[in-house]
Amino acid sequence: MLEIRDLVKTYGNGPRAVDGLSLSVEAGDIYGFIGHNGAGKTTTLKCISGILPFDSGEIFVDGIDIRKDPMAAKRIMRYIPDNPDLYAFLTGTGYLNFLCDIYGIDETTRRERIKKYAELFEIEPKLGDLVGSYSHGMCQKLALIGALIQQPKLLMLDEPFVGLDPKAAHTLKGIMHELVENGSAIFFSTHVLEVAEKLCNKIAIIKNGRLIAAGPMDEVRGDSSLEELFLELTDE
Amino acid sequence: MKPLRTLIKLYLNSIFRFPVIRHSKDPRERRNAIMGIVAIGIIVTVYGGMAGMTSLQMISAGIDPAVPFLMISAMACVFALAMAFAQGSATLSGFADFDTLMGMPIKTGTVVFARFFALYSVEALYCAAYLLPCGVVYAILCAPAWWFWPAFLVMLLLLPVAPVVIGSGADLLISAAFAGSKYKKGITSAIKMILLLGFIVYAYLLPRLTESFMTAPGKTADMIARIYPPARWFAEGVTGNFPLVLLFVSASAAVCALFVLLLNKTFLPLHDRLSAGYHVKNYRLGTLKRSSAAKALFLIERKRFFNSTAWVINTIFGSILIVVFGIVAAVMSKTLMQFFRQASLERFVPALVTAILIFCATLSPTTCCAISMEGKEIWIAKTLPVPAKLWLRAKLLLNLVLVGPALLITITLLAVFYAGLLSPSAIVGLYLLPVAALLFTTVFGLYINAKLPRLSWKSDTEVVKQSSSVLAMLGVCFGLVAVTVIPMLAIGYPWVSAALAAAVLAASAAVYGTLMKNAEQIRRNL
Repeated sequence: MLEIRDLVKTYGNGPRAVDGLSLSVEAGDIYGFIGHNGAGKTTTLKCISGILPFDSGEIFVDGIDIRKDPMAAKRIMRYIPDNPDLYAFLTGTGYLNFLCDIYGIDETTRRERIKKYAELFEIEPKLGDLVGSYSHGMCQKLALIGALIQQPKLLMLDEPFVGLDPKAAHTLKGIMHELVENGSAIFFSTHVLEVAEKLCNKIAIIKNGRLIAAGPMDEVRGDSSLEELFLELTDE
Repeated sequence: MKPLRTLIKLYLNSIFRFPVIRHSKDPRERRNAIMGIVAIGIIVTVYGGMAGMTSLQMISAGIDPAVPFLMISAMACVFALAMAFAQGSATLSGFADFDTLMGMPIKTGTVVFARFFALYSVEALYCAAYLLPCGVVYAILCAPAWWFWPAFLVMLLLLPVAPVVIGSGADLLISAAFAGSKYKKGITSAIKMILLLGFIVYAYLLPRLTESFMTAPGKTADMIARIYPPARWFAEGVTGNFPLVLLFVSASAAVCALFVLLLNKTFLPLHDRLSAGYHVKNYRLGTLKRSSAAKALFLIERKRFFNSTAWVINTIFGSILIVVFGIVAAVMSKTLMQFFRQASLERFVPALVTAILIFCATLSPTTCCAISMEGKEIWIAKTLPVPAKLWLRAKLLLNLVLVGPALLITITLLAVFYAGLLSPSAIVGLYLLPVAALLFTTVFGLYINAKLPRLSWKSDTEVVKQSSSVLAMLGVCFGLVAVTVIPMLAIGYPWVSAALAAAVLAASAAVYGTLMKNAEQIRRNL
């Protein structure tokens, strides 16, 4: 579903933020992406989603080259940043309806999906309010609904659990499982290693822009816990 | 005093972006910040030069030296008032770091004064730009008393205080009155536009004022002095009336102190009220209308525009001026035609009208900050599976929809009411050139903004009023008026107008082509 080959990204004259990263995410994967602050997680996610241009390397989303056909790639994937700034001048419904227009979702389906996810995240009564009045957690929920109504083949999330209340976090985990059971793939960054350990079937660890470990959770982790492994690898 | 100094430094840095110039590793961002400073410098120089020349001409013609001071200070005050009115509540209360600052051990009064200073400092810069050259001209030609310079400089610094207080105070009151309403932004924008329009119409309908501008500047001065007495105190103070210096200084200081004290007392509840969001009780998901992607993008652009009071006031003003001009010109058509015939100025009418229409239609296109206004929400536009061309076209369309109808209606009004004065070819020219100019500034505004985007901002005012693309576009607008009108006046109207229109249309097509060709790259590089 996602194939990254030798990705290199540099900001201005600075050092390489991502340095020769290669990674493969299959359909049905919940792939965790962990690393210390400034390791290059968000930069990688932004390069995949087409937000950032990159210096070299290749990114394929379901076989589509993000550089050659970004529109086709964007149609099947969604990215939610860690602190989603949404259109504050729209109501929640207005924002979701806008996304449905862009993705060409018909009236019946959009209503069904918005209702389903809004109920799951317990945000329906707030959908008539302006997004500008939302708390961080509510923005996060709205951004997630905006991504889920599209039923993307590849869902990329940057720190999705930050700001979510425990119930919403639990709901999101359930939705993630449901999504991959239906053939999608999820690639997400997190600092919460316990969540990554329980939720993901695959894991990648990045340090200073370089991938230092990647693969199935059990293989990468071995006999130690993810926390122990992470500390061991990143302290080296 | 240290927190106040630190806060003032912080705000001045955010306005003029000195840290970006010094420390940014992104060459584009650095260039953008430098361009902003350069653009401010050019505007300040141009305005200052014009004010200085006006002052020089008037004093050389034997007019009382207080008159140019009065007229230019009144103009500076009107600008300061309008700017403070447009951005007062956003700067004083709606700033993004409110929570951070109020959570720090800093006195509320310090924060209030620092915010007021942030609002005041930009207006003080422009006031200084207008009036310093006048002071220099006056000092050279009239050899004033020794205390002229200290008094002049102090008064110059205090000149924008009262207009900023009045403008921002009015804005805060209006914003507070409609806080919590779903259409808060729309209502406040509409009220502000009506008030500003009312002010313009009032000024225009003062027949003695407009008449005396042409014939007797002294009478104009009397009129201005009656409308805004502090301008008279300023003008007569700097030209030798020391008691008026004291009156002006003490009145300005008192107004400032009173406003800051009052704001200090009400700061938290006021912010609380202003930040009240709109809430619907028992909301249930209703019918959802479906639109095409192009229409959805345009509707978003339109909502974003009408949600920003500063943007609305800054850009829709041209359209309103066009309509006001059309109506006034239509109503006064007989008188004006008679005047032009008696003065044998008929041949200049098409060029004059074209110049006014081009100026109003191109004054401040929405496109020159349309990309910057995406701000931190730009990630949405960048991840949408729509061609970037469609996204850019929505921005172009907004400006054309806002200005185009007003322009066409006004030209048609002029064509009907001035049919006796304008030949058919002149009427065709009247349609061609302003419309071509509108198309050009629409596409060129977006082109400049694509080159000089500013996506990191805390208040929309920073983008709408102070960003380099907006300031650069102001220069382009003035340049376009000069480039199109001077040949028309020098050579003649119809054919020159047609040739210019063709040239401007060709330039518009070229810029549009460049934009569309590089659309994906523009969006990707943001």
